[in-house]
Amino acid sequence: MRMFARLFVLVLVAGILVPTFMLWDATGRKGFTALPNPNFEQMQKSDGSLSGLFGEEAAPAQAPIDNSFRFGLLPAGVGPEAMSVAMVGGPAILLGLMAFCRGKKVCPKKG
Amino acid sequence: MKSLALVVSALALFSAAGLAIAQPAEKGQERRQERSRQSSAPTQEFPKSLPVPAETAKKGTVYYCITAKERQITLHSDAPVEQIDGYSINVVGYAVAGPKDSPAKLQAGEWHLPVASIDTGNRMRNKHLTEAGWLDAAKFPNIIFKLSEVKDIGEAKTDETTGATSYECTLVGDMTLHGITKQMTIPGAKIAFRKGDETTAREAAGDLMLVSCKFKIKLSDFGVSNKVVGQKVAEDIELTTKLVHTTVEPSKGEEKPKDAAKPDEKKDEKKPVQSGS
Repeated sequence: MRMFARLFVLVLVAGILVPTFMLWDATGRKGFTALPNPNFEQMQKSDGSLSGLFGEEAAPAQAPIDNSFRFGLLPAGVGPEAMSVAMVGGPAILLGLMAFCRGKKVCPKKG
Repeated sequence: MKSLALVVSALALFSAAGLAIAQPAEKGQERRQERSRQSSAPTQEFPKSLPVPAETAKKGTVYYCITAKERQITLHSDAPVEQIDGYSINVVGYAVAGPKDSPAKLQAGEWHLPVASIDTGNRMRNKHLTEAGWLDAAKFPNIIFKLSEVKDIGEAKTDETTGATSYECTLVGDMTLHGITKQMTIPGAKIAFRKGDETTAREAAGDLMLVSCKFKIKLSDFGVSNKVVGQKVAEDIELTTKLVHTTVEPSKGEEKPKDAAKPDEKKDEKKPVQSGS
């Protein structure tokens, strides 16, 4: 029974960790979670509305604004930005450790 | 059996956390939008213009920086741990054009970037940026560039599609950041002029001028140094600016300095700048 429970925990932990890291990988492997920002969206829309009046050559190109969802390694705040590898995967790892280390002696008994 | 109980309680914990984070569709969306607005620093009001001292206004045609319309500045940090970009649309300032035969030889110019307006897309990071260990917005609310000279002005190039005339040049001026002022030389800058017409009027009234450049600043030169600099945040920050100005003074309502030029006085001096087109 104990073996079955441990196997279940292992599958559960893997089931949480694997998609978590896959999502992190698929969204750009960023350090912090980022959600689409309405201000950035506004900036993207208006980009070049004024400077574009001078032609391509008149100004150095600015990097495009990255306003996509990024599932980061660490949370970027409280609320939806908290969803991250650490927040989702952390408890899963903890759960796995607790399930596997229960009952095991951490320190040898004295004497 | 105990392990199973542990798993069930952990799952319950996950569900509770998920429910706490997720919100009902409509309310959640409103909250998310509100939160995003907050995350994007500009919750506070920023100045719409920078007053032009009367003495400076007498030097030539004044061009006022158009603020809050499009992205004016990008700050890029390329550190080993991560890349960070910050943007602002709240730069205010002015530039005084040069004589007709050399309009790009600006007679004066000053631009202010409110530190609190820099949006990196991360609420925590935006907050940190304004704190004492970083740019200390409470003490030093603005990053200031005061132009002292435009040199190495290249030949005028006219864009055939827009009719704008641009000049490559080097800007020399004093950059004040975090209360420390350093002289900076910015090669490869561009100054362009375009006469107001129907097309430009859709975006902004008056004759237009663009000042654009790309340059790097070293944070430690301006007294910004902590253990994060060099790891999560690069020591050298790259700034890309595109500042569009107009001859039309921004709407009134801003407090002006005592020596600021009166609109009536300036009317006579506001001659269209020779754009070369």
